[in-house]
Amino acid sequence: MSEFFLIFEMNGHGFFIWSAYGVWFVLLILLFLKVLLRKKEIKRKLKYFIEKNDGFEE
Amino acid sequence: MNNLFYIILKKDFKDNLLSNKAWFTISFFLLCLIIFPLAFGSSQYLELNVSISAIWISTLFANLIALDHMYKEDYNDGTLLYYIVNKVPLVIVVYAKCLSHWLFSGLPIILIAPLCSYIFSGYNENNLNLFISLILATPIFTLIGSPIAALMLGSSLRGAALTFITLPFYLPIIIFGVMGTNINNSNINAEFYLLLAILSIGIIFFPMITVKILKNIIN
Amino acid sequence: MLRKLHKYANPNKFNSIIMPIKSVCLYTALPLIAIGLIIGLFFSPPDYQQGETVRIMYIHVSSAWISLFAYVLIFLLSVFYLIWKFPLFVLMAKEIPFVAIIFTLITLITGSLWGKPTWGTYWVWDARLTSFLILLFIYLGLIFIDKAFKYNVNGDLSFSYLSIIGAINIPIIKFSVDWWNTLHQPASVIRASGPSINIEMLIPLMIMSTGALLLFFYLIFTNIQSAIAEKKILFLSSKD
Repeated sequence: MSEFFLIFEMNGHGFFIWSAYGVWFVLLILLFLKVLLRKKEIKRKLKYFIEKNDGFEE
Repeated sequence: MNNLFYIILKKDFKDNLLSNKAWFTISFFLLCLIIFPLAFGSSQYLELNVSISAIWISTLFANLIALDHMYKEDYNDGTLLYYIVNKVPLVIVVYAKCLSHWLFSGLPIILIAPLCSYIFSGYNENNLNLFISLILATPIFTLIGSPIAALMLGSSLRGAALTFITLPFYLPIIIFGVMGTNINNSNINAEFYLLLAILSIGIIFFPMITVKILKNIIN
Repeated sequence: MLRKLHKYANPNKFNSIIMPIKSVCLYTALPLIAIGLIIGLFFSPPDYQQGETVRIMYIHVSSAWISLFAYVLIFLLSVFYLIWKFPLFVLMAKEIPFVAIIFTLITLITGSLWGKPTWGTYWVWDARLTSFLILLFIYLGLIFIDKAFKYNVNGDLSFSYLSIIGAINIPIIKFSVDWWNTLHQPASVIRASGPSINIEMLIPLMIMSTGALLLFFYLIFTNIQSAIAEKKILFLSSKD
């Protein structure tokens, strides 16, 4: 338990270190989600347009 | 070729004077400058660094306002196409336009700024520094702005977009200019040499890029 | 060699090459980042001057390297586009600024959170921090000019020229700590006389940087696939 407290506090600078890592993590997860959501939406649209063109892709 | 330069310069002069764009720039500068003491409320002298930053910010905005019209009207008219088709060397056109832009947005500011600095801050000693850094920095503003004004030809945006895109490139010049205006050590004028270096390289480099951009965009 | 590479300029073929590379990148990046995080947070030594806050270096420096690398990539792709005129190059270049902006934001925010305990301030207007902020604005300008020319083909040219003009900022960022007296610490890894950093800190830094680079490539490749599909949609929707 005291080990966990040591890691959490990091000699007094715990706030800065963990908030920096938190910001890094959150921003990367947001970027990941945006890229994957864009890909999913475009795949959906492409399927619609290909079907509209009767399966002819070129 | 010299003749051509003067012809295009005179044509730009007439355009600017007749359409009141020249007075627009200098009055925008003065208006922007007057807002600063108004926004501070008190009627005493402003602090020195506040007045310096007021002058530099107003210079920036006056320059950016005039930048929009540099190539737009000639592009919409078809005059640029005419220049290219008739094999007029575009370099001369670009230099003439940069010079006329500076004459109407940089030169009046350089002449009025020391007076304005004295009116706002009551401080006389850095007038020479202000004058020299403005003389070195305003042509650089024009030169950096010209390729970016050429890039925005044919886009459907208004002037604010040009401001936003040009601003990151002006920031280092402003930093050096303001550093040169403060009179910390009057023997080692490193900032002036740096601005002079940027100006000398820029006079050759930026119009070259602008010519390339114009040729590629109009074709 | 160029003759052999010509056939990859076809977007469909490029798409089919990217797909296996993309998944390899992702499945290598995630373990590397996890390992780098664990070693960095728990098994690396604390600095004798800065204490435990040096652990922020592992995410700050790796993100900064990715941002600079991304701009160099944009610059090279723009130059290649202007020389060889393959539309694929500028398609790739246009997908990079959005990803690179997030890495630049990460660098700036973690940097200021690192600065508060070590220097006592969140921000200072010295050469490296200001030029990195200017890099952020240049990326924003690139995105802006990309969106501005939606109805005009000149957008490709404008994008490439703007990125070439902005490339002057990269040497300024790299050498700013040498040329001016700055608060930011001078270079300690990429120097003429080799890295001056402790090997126990260098290893997690390198692992994190490699993992972040592969993650960056994964995100870029996914975006390029989406962009190629968007062009296909544009073509198909204009056929009726």
